[in-house]
Amino acid sequence: MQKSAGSTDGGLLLEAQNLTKAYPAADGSSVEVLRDVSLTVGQGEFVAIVGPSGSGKSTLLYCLAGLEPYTSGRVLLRGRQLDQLAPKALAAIRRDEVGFVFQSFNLIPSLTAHQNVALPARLAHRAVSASAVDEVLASVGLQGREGFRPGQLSGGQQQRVAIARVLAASPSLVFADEPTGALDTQAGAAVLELLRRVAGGERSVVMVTHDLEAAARADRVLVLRDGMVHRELLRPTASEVLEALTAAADEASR
Amino acid sequence: MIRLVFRDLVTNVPIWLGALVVTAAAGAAVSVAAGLITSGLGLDFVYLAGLTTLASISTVLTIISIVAVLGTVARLTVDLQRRSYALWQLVGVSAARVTWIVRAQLTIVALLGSALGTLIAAAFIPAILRFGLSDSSGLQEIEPRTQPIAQLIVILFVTAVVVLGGLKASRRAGQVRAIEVLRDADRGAARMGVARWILLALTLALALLSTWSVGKSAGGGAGQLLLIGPLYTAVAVSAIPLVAPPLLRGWTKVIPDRFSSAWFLARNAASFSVGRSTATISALVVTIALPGSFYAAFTTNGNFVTASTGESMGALGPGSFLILLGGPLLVSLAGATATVLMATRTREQETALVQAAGGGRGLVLLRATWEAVILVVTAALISVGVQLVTGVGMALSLSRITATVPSFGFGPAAIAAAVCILAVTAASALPVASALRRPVRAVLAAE
Ligand SMILES: Nc1ncnc2c1ncn2[C@@H]1O[C@H](COP(=O)(O)OP(=O)(O)OP(=O)(O)O)[C@@H](O)[C@H]1O
Ligand SMILES: [Mg+2]
Repeated sequence: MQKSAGSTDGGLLLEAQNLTKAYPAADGSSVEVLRDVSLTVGQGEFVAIVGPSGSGKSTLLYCLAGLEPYTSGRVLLRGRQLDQLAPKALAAIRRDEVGFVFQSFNLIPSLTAHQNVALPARLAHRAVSASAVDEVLASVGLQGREGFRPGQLSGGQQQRVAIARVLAASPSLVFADEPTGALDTQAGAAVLELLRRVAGGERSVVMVTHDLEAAARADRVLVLRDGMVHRELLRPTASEVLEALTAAADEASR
Repeated sequence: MIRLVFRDLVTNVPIWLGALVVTAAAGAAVSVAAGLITSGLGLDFVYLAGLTTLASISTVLTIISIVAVLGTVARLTVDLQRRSYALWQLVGVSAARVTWIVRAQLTIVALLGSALGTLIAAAFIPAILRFGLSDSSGLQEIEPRTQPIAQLIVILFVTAVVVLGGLKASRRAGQVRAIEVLRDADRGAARMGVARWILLALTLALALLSTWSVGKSAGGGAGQLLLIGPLYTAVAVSAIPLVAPPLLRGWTKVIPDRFSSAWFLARNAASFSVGRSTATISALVVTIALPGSFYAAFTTNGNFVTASTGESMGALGPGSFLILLGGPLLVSLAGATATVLMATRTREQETALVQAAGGGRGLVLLRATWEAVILVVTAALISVGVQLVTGVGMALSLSRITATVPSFGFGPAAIAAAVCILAVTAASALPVASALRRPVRAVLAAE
């Protein structure tokens, strides 16, 4: 299995060019949260985004995923520019090619774990067998909990249901915003291992994280600072990520 | 502490809006009844007595409606803020204090709401009374009059009813445990408590007794006649936690989930919410069953009169309908709409999730519409039961004197159900439509 480290050798899946995002501020002016961000995600790649709190990581992720409009620049998914797509086409992309793991509020409270996992397939009118869903849930360690509603599951279990949903739908691109943020070390490691398994082959993962160990599992780490890509690390160790982060924080505080 | 009471009220305005709207409706309804009495003051005793009878029936019905709707609205208000109450406890506010604060907040909202309702109603009372009395014999010429002191009494009266109705819900706020800060714990199903069983037994006994006594002697009490329908409605409302969830799950199964994703989502959402809070469904049952059973009793009695005397008793005119049922229906319809609006946050979040999973706008709007339809149809089915029991019960009882065919008041109930569908669909779908115009992230993240 070949890992293209952001190169364009046939496997380019997602591309952001000169992305900027500004939010209106209270006094009528606007605050630039993303400035001129350019990046690529290759097929099968696992990319982590790290950076100080407020540096724009989540904003970048949501812009890349088409869940938040950007101010200028462009995002291309398999060559299609997100801001030029009609709502219908965007919905089709979300149905067929993209999966999400949010930090919280991942699941629909009135649906069981099983129903939540099967939801993307249902929306896409794809047939998915009940036993396949049960299998995926079992693979994230939730056998026997298929009929539980989110309110009856712990935070970590809910997060694993969200990952099972991604596994069952098998989209080509998965976005995850601090998927381990609310979990203890052990549960977090389990969730990461699952995400790591998702990436590879045809599937890519873009993950925002605060967790150095988590970032160190990625093929590539982007260090964000003040809305700009400050550094890019290839298969770094946890201490290399820490170093880059500290440098970013130091410069930011100056 | 006073600051906390107000600051929390202001930040949670959308949640408290439900209680505000219901008390405003109650204020308006009761002030119309008060207008009837003040118009009769200084007139001949016959007039005053006639007006007072009308006023007291309408007030009793309004109180039934307030009690049925408000308790559940207050409970929903509290349930939606459990996390805040848990946070308060974490920062050192005692459980007793939490209860006290919620009571203070409810009192403020009730005062504001009833004052608002009374003020708004004041402008329309002369017109309402003139129209309302136009088809009553002998009371048409009465000149409508309102008095400030009467309005003040109405405000205090409604506030008292609301605060008493919310006592139990505010105690619930104090029972929230601090651990609930951590996650949105399952609040547990709405269940039949002891009080509800007692209420059910009491209303059922009263309803059966009244039905039985109607047929004891010809020309029995007319006031009693008017209360039979409302009594059976009260029976149904007390039994809602027992009846509504299985009924909803059962009849919605008729349309399979593969019919559409919107239906699937709506069915599960409706079933989930009815299992947790009976607020909306109770209000809907009152709105549909009250006019339905009222007409069932009235028309069945009309059948009896025709059968025994050969004369027609005449129909209940729109004016009398407005005076007697307008107030209670205003309260319950406001309650149904407000409680649906109060759950907007949940619906928006689900909208964002469904969109993120690739559901289109049409699907999301259709889902909100189906949810409203499912709730109203469930309430309508319960109402059909109430109307059947009322009509058949009356006919059986009256048949002891003269063979009487039952009537069921399906027409008025159908009109009420149609109005409910319009109001509840709007309350469910309009906020979702506006959420669709915001970026998915903003909807998902908003607290
Ligand atoms: N809707 C909004 N309106 C205005 N400003 C916003 C909005 N959303 C985010 N911001 C601002 O954008 C900046 C970046 O936010 P973002 O959520 O992307 O940060 P982050 O890097 O994910 O931080 P964290 O690690 O704390 O989650 C912050 O300064 C935030 O205040
Ligand atoms: Mg973030």
